[in-house]
Amino acid sequence: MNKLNFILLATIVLFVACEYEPSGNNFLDLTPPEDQIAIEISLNDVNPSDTIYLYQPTSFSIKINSPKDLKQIIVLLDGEEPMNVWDRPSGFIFYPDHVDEGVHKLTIGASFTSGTGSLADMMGLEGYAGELSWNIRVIHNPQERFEVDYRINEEGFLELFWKNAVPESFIESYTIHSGLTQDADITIKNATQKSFVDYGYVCGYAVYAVKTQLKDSAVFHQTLSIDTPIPTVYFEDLGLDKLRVYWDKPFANGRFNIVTDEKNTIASAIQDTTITIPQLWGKTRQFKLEIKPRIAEYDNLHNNKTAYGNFCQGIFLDIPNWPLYAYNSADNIIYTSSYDDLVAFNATTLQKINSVSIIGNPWGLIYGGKISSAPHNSTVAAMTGEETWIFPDSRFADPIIIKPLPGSVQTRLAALTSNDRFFVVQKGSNTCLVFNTLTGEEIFQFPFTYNTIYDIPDLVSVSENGQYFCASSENGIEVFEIDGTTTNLLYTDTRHYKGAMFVPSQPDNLLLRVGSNFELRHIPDFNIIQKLDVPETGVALCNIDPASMNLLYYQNDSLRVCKINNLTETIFKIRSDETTCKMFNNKLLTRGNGGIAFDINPYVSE
Amino acid sequence: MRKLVIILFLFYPILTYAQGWSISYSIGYGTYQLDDIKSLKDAMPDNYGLKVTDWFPDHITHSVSLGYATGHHHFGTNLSYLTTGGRLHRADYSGSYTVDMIMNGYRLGAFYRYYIGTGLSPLSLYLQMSPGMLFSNLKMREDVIVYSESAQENTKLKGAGIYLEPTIGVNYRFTDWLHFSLGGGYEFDFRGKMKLSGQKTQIESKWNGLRLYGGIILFYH
Repeated sequence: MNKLNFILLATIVLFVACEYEPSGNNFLDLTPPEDQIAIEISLNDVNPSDTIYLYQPTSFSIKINSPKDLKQIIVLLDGEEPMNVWDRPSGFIFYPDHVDEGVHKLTIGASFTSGTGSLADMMGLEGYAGELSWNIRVIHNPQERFEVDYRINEEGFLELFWKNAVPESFIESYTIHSGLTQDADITIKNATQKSFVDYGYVCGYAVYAVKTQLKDSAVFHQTLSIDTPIPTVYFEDLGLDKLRVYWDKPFANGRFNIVTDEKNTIASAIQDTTITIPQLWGKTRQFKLEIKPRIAEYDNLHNNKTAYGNFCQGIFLDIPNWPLYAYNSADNIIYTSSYDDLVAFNATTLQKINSVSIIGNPWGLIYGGKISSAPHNSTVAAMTGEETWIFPDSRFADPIIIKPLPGSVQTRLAALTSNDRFFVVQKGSNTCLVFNTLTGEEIFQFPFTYNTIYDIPDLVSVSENGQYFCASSENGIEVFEIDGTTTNLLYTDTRHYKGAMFVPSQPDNLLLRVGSNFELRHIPDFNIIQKLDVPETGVALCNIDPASMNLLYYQNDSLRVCKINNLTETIFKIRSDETTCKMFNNKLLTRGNGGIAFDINPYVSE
Repeated sequence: MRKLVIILFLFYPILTYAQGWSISYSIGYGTYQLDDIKSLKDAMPDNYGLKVTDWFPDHITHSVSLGYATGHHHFGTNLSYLTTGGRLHRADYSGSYTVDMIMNGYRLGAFYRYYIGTGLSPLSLYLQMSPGMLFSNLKMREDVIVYSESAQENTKLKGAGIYLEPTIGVNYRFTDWLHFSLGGGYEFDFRGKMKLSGQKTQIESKWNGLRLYGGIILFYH
């Protein structure tokens, strides 16, 4: 048995020892590689010393040149391979949103074969490798970070300014579109110029569309709306003669025109925001402030802004139409009309005391308007379009109504006298009607020769006591003395008269405007008491204030006041266009324009 | 003198056939068809410039047998060892890449031998038939050495088939217990699919080919 084991063991050893051993070798005598080779790596032809700004998905092209065969390219971001940037073998697309904002290091690495054909070469264990890095700055949401704002520059003009997260070197141009202030779009080719001065904008609304055009054709848009206040016009009453008109300084520099009454330019192309001009009493003056660019070449329809302001010198009574006035010296009341209302104002305070509506059929007071007040008591008469209402006083109760007895602004005379008579001369009539104010009955009537064609000024007058009557016209004058119901012609001539009125409380003094004179004559002898030379034209009598005994008249461009007993001395003068106004208790009153009053007392007080 | 006696004893003609147990050893030479194995080089990837330096040549065989002889008959069991191999190789300044493949075959079977007298005693002719199992394995070893890096990978395929080998030869009876034999035959292999890690492959290990033997037989009476 031992022999058999020995034989088996010997057999196994024999077999193992006899196992075939393959032989032979295949050695190739190759030249080992050089230590270094030249490699060129290019990324979009960007110089590695430059920073690459990435603000949108960007395609990168990798170019690699080497005498050896390229094996692999890797892209590393901050030392890690960003898997999501690969898009194609020779390039990749970089998505900025996938990377934190800030500076990163982008590395392009490449490996090459050694080219020797050795086993190591074939197995990738021998070769060359190179890498190149670029600094990249990732910018998120560059569109939203394109910010546009505005300011006033040192010269006072509107300046738009903007800033981009994208550096200037990437910017091709800026374009500013302002359809309201600029006739054409503005293109700025200089990327370092990050502002634009709009010489066309002064104030108000404007909208700007600003674009940043990048060199890679990307465009960022921003719109900017500006709405700054249009100046408000203010006034400062500098006294009788001067009015200061001023306005807010607009947001940006401008030039200004001041136009009154829509057509009268009183200042043009001024740069100041204030101007002092002469006063003009008797109307509510409308001032139009035209606001334009400081530099006229930027004028266009939208750049021009307009502001309005109204100024009224004196006191505005707020009464419509063409009010006529009457003054009761006993009560110190000024009567006037407002539509169908007969209104009483305190002649000192100009506060409304009372009113009564006199509605006619169909005309009423609104189509009448002639008003008269008695010199000796509180009686007041108002002539409507149909009849005449005579009230005992300003309570407007228990009127005596005379009808039909219409009156209007064309009625030549409507006067209450201290002998309780009411004298009426209608337009175109050569007859004076005389009524009893206590009964309303007509007492008598008498004819005269010269009736005037003019409504204004007064050319027909009766003395306060009813004793004398004067009817003048452009053809002559007749002065009558009235005794009861009989008249006696005291004087007549054929001169050209432009006004005639008896002096209140002085029934024997008659003031005339004739030729180039004011003549104050004594009645019944018609002797001249005073005489004042005035221009032939441009002069009109207004009235004699029963309270102050001052004469108001218009000459050239102003209203003038003088004492009735001293016509030569003008005690008050105010610039005005109003030739038809009246003065009671030293209050100037316009016929129209809403009833504007002006108290001259501060200027005539002795 | 003693040596002379021994030589004379050895060359003394013996005309009778041996009878009893036998053990034999033969060394031989075989041709190996191994078509599938040899075609492996065509299937090998042509990477790294590997070239064949050795490819499954015909090679030495070893056989041992245990048997019993009686009269003209001699039968028993035998074990044969077949081995060959191949090499793919590439080397340069950077290192070497070697693929060595060693194919071993182990035949375990039975034999029956019939001796025919030739009239030239102690020389006799014999006819033999050997069927049995053939166990093959192919060991593949890849060695890569590049600079300071090295790697090795081993692969092994195994297969089993059957074989049938008719043989003809001559036997020289030197003494009753010592015979010499020379023979030749042809091995037919059947089946023999090889497996890789237990998975069948399409590779067949067919060692088909001529077999030449020369050996000694020891008898134990």
